Amino acid sequence: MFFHFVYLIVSKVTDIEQGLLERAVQGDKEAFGEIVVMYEKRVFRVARRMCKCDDDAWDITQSAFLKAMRAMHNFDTEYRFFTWMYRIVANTAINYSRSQSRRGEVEFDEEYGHDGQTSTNNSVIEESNRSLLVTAVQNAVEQLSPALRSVFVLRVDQELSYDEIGSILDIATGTVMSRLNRARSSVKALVLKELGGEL
Amino acid sequence: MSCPDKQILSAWMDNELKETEAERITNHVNSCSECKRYINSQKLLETVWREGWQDPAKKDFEQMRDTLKQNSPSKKWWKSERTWYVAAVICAAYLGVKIFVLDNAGTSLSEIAISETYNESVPGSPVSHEQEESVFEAEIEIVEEVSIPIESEDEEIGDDIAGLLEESEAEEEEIVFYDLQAVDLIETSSSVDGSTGVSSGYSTTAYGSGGLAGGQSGGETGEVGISSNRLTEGSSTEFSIADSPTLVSSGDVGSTVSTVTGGGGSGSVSIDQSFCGGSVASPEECCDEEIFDVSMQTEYAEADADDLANRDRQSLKNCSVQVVLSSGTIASVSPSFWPSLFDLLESILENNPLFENSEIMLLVDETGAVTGPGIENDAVVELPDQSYSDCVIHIHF
Repeated sequence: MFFHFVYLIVSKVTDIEQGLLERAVQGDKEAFGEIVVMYEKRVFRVARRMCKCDDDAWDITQSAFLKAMRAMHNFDTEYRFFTWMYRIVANTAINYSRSQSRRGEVEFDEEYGHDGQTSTNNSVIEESNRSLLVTAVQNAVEQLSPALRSVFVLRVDQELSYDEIGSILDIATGTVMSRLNRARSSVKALVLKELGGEL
Repeated sequence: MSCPDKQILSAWMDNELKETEAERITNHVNSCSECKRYINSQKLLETVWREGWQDPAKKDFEQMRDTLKQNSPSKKWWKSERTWYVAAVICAAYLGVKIFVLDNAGTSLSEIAISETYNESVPGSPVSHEQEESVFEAEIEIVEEVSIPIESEDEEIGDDIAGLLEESEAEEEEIVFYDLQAVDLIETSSSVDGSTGVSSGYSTTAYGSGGLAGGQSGGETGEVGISSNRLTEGSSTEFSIADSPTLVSSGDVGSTVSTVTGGGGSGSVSIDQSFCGGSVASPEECCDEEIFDVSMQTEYAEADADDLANRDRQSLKNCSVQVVLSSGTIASVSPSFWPSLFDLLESILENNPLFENSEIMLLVDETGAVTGPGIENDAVVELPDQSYSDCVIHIHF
């Protein structure tokens, strides 16, 4: 009974979204505005995770929605809107990052390749200030190259599957796996470096 | 079992391994403190980062939406009043220029009307002279027959008129057929010796309302442009240089430009077109069976580099520039009267050799901003006089 109720709610929401999408494809700006409201938080979050400050994130978010609006007539309503939107925002953020200085970006994890051998001790993390750790991770993510960063954000923050990430970034699943591993290793090593301790 | 690769552990953490592989890794992790610590620390780090997220304030999103609204694409061009205003001005100016300047001034309106009617029914068609005369005579005959007193042989004359009208309609159908082959009307001009590396090139222009125009500029890489407002969708165009294996390109009729790489040496460019129907054909007529193959050939010979360099300037000297003022007055302008306009025309010719031997129309608004084919977005000319604001400039290069 409970699951049936949940199913009804979910399908109702899906129907509403589908209706909005169909209207937006026809050029209905109000419908597109409602879609923006539905997705703005997630889009902003992806954008913010992939850039270095809030201002950049707002620019990326706005730019991504504008691109989506302009390309809306090409959107196939059979597909998931957010997968499509992810692709737009991720590519916008990647291009944005690439237009910025590449100094300090970590492309490969050779320099930090021994993190797996680091003795891990959860107590250090538990005792450290969580907000400091969040900042340290964010700083580390920002130092990744756009290619590694986008995979890291889509998996770790957005919890998408490897297939979904591959489809969004137009790369093979195996590439997603290897990039993610490199990104994780680099992030961990950079966090350790910043906090000066061990995890 | 030795510790698995970090990439495998990472995929295991994300539940991305196949069942058997995942089971094997699970067994290992359960018995390996090193791997367990690695995974726990990694998960902790990522969880703290993920959960540390805070959404911005609502007002920030509202602000973003407002900005988005302001920057959203403007309404569709055909819904814009300005578009229709500009289109009306262009049409009026074109008709004005055509009737009073390009056609023989002083031609009676009735003659112009007859001639225009005829031209419309035979747009750019390569109808033979005999056919032209027969169509013209048929129309005159209708007028003459109608002027015969009808009291005497009403029915007979009525039949005659009906017969003539049928004949005239049949003629028109045939004309439609000819129109489909209007692309035969091609003139070629200019040339370049690719081996000298001289830029510019050759241009190809097709006249008539078949509406094909092609051209190429540049040395090793050039463009062949095909524009057509007469050919239907689904047409295709292939470009090839007969004696150069490097040139391979294709483009759709209706697309403005296709890039041609290669060239050089002497030879020819042939544009073979297969198209189905023409814009005058009804959808029913535009069927698969009605395929017309039209072959266009442009030849180019060697040209002197200096000639090429001077070509634009000479063309500009010879071009006629008519200005239709907002008051409706038409004036011819010279380089000394409006130097900035001629500077602009020079730059148009420089960048668009395709415009040679053609007519283009520009619009100048009250600020001197110019719009039209081959014009950069921010092009501005200095107005020679206030009355030249909001004018239409008609140039025959």
